[in-house]
Amino acid sequence: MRWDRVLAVARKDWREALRGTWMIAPSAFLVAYFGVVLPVILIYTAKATGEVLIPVNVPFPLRVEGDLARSLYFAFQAVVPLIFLVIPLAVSTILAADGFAGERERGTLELLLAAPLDERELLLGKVLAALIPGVISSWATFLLMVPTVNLLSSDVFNGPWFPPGPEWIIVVFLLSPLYSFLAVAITCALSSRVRSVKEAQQGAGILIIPLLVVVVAQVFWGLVVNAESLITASILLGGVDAIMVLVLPRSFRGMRYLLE
Amino acid sequence: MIEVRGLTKSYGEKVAVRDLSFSVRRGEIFGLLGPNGAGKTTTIRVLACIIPPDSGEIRVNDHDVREEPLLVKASVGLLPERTSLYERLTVMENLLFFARLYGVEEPLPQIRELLDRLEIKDRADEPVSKLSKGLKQRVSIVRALLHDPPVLLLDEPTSGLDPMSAEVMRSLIRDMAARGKTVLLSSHNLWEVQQLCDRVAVINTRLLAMGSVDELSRKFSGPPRVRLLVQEVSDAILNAIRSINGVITVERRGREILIEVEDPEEAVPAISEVVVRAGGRILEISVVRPELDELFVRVIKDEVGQGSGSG
Repeated sequence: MRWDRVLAVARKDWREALRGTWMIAPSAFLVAYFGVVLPVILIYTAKATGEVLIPVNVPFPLRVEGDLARSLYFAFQAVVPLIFLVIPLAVSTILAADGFAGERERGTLELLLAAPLDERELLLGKVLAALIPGVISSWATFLLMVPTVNLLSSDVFNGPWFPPGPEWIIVVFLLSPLYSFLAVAITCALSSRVRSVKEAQQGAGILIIPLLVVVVAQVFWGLVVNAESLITASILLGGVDAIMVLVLPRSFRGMRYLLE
Repeated sequence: MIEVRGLTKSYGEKVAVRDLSFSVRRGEIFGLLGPNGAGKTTTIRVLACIIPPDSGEIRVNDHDVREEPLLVKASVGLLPERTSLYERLTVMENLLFFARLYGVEEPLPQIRELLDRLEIKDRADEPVSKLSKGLKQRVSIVRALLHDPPVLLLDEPTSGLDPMSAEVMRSLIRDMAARGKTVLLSSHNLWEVQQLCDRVAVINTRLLAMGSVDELSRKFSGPPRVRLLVQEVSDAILNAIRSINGVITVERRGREILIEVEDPEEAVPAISEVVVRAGGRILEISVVRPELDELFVRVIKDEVGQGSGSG
């Protein structure tokens, strides 16, 4: 494995993405919206209406009195963490879908396949090119969200309170990259087998379904998300990722048919 | 340098190349000729290890395409039919990217020299999207040459180029061959193939003919012809020509007479002599060798006539 070649592929993809508004603008919007705008909306709406929407079984470990605090805590603890799975999914799958199908559409795939790269080097370059911007977007959102939330709601919680527990760290720094890797791997596999970026993106849309199931389970079935359950989910996801690492190169070998 | 034995490649039911065999020597310019869908691009892609062959033994620069694809790829400079560059990147970014993939150490001097040679040095920092097709093709050839490969595979290298860019490309191809590089090119431009190639293979899914343009001329053009232009054609002149031993047919076209002969070296002096003796005044006399496009059409027509062409 020659890492200079892997990184050359990834850097080339980033350069291309940075030159086009199709990548930067939507990613920047996602980061700004979820990192700043959404917390502002949630906090001001809760403060203005005083509405309390808390399922009875949601634990509230903070030593703060009042329904507003409980309401905000629930909103951020139950719904917002999923954003850190959605953001890398959205950013990374755009890049991953473009990975091979885009090269084919633009007529550059032939030269890439003619270059003396091991298939694993090419594949890893493409995976990194898609994975890293998604994960960075997710972390940037978190870094924006922490001061925004604390600045706007410290009066309710008598000081900085966000993130309220280790769950956030697990979601942002462990579960999010693991889920992104799975999404990128599946989308890269799709991208190497379909004939257009659009087809790859449509196929990757299925990756949002597990996240919707979690939301529904939390809101309607009282699914409790805590550090233990998140670590369990991360271990399971890590196992699935490891299987993908083994399976992906085999699926990739079929991509040469794109030129046939 | 390139050895192809029994190459067969199908796409599903469709046979693209059937039992194709040829070899190309070091420093040779070898042309692949054939109509659309004849398997030229497929052959080049197999040689470049982009797609695997179904069967056959294929070696490039002494490496087997199945066993040592990375070594084959490192030996080959490929110019695909379509200009395959990253449009959003600059010329230099494109070239540096491929230099890294090919493991070229300190690529800048090599890149600058090639850009200078192809007269595009001043466009190095422009995005490829801003270049004309001719300039993009020049960048593509720089990209194909920057790792100094011993084998060049050029798919329609001058297709769509303006005459000046095409001439630059042809001159470069000749120069590369003179430096010992093996060049295999496919082209629709028969004149160009005639000008450039030491040998030619005419294919239409399978190999129809192979040899130098002269060899193919002798093989497919029938008897050689002598073209005679005289001041005034008379029956006496025509009859005098017909009476020469070794003359097969005589055809009159205005003031021009086309004479099929067995041996032009013997026929030309004899024809000159009898025409002058018959009172004719010769304006021009030459031996006519058929153009490659004429041969090409004839070979392909023969193939279609035999009913064995499969696209």
